[in-house]
Amino acid sequence: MQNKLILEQKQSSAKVQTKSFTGKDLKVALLFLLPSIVLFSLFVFYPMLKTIYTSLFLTSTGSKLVSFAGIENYLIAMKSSVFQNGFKSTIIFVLATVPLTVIFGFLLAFLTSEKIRGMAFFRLIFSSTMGISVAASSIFWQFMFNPVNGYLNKVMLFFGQKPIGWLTDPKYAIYAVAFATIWMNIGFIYIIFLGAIQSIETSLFEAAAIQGVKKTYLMRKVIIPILSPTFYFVITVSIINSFQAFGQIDMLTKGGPNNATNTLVYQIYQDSFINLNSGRASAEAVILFIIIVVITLVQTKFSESKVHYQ
Amino acid sequence: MPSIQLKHLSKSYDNHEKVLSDINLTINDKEFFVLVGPSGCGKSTLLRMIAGLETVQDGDVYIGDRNVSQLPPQDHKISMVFQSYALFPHLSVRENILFGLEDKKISKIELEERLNEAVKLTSLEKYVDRKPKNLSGGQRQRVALARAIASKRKVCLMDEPLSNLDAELREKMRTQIKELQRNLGMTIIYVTHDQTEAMTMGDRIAVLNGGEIQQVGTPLEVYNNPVNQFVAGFIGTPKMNFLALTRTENALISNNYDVNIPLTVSQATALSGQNSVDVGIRPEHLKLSEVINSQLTGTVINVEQLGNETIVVFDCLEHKMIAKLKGQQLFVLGQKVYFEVDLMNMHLFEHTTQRRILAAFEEVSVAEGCVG
Repeated sequence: MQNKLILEQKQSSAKVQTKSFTGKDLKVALLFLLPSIVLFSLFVFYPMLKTIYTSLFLTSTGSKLVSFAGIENYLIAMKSSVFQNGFKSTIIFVLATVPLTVIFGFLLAFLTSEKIRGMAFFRLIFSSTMGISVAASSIFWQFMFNPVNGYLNKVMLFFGQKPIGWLTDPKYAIYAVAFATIWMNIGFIYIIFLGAIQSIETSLFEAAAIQGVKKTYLMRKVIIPILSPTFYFVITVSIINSFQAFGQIDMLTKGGPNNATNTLVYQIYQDSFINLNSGRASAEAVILFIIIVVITLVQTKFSESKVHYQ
Repeated sequence: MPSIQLKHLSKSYDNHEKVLSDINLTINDKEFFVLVGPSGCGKSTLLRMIAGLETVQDGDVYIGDRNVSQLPPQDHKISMVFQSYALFPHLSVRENILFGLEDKKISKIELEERLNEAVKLTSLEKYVDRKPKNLSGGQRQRVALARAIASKRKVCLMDEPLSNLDAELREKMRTQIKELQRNLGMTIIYVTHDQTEAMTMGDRIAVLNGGEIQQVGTPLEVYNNPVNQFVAGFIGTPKMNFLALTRTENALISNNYDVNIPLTVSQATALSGQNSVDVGIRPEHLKLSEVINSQLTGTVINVEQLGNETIVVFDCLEHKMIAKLKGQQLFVLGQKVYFEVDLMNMHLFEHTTQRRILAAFEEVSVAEGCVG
């Protein structure tokens, strides 16, 4: 009797195992995936493959493929001093924006995470830049940076300093654009951090409060380690966003002065739509893609040991 | 010397909903004090006010001889074990136990001593390098306890620390916590909704309901001498049976004569002038009777056989009554049953206010007095 029971159990578990992968199930699964497959293919995979394909050709001004050039477009791009300079500008831009955006976003979120009356006002203010478009923000910063009437220079004058050509001096332009970018991006980063801090179990903060630990200890020992997945996400997204920054550069400096803000993305735009050289622009786009992939991979590898998932 | 004193503590949210009203309590040094009550009775809020995690609006909290009402949690100098254990998920057991202590001016040798003592007392020696996610529920609970021990604070507050554990483990931990408290000489205020925990662990217990203290006393005082129907019904399992009866000269009866309980002299005296009375009878104070139409008549609706005792649920005056009988008794559903009441252990309550008129405990004293 017992043996029969065990046999029946074995049979039923075998049935369950074979049931999981039938052709019908696969079709149903594919059907559910179809909308995203179609959309991704249309808007991501096809343009990506087309870019890689175009980058291997010399193109006419009408973006027609003229002749196969192999990696020539890549070689020309990489040897060009403008491209090398663009690479340098991009790195400066990323280094100037990412750490400050992440640090300020986190600090603001930490400071406003406590439940104190009136805190909602500050939360609204700090997150509000997320609701402003790049174009509108850029115009606002154009006014701020204006060498004659801009508020920044008025402040400089107030403190007895000489006015600075924020957007016209090659020394300052990239930092001015980076500063505006930090302002634009901080709302998003702030919201992510605020949500993450608020999702930390309250009793952990209470246990820390009872022990009477200092704020710095709490931040170093509790909040930052628990938020490590958030930091990882925010840093990755910020790096990618910074590499791809375009709108504010186009509106504020158009890559100038003297190519000081001519980042890789802006160069791709210029080669493609101003110089009408799609082949070279595609090659530059692929190079940028590879750079971002490599950085993200390195970051993933590096952060594996540091990121703690609950 | 009192360890903790609460004087006229009140708390309300949004200035209208009273969560706690006029709480006065004195908790003695090295006492295991239990706050027990149903969900939403304010017991956790009270504990959090003692911890400094909730603001004190009215009244004062004294820990030792210091008024800590308006001080931040760290100045209350207490330790706390949370229901969720509040373990830091990214820190090892060692780091969790020593959390916050490394930040203070304590020597490394002392830290190590405290850690060793705490893990030894909680049998966590093997797990010091593990993360909380690699521990079982019981082990996590012990880490939370170890943290309280390592803090070396005299007062420890516990907010339903065993409610996430299974029944068997809960029972084991009850004994462990009680032993720890005795050995370390800690003052513990323990919040629970489980009256069994309150009865088995507390030196004294306070029963709360609707933000008010109903009764404070040793477990047996509260069990034997409940001040009102709420306490009587809340403490004890299975629950006390209640019947609304009419008083005649020498007995309490129901309109349909299914119930006819004679009164002792002292009971009759205590009930003078009362026509309607609520009677409380604990399930173990009902005795099966061979006599038809005995003091209580009912119809069996459920039987639970526990091996050493039998729980009979029977219908009487449209109430579900419970009797706890010794040994294994056999019943058929729908069977008529007759019970006698242990009159010395019968509780009498005012029908309108539900307050105690005469408790079984008092009745025993009176009866003994008479005999003497």
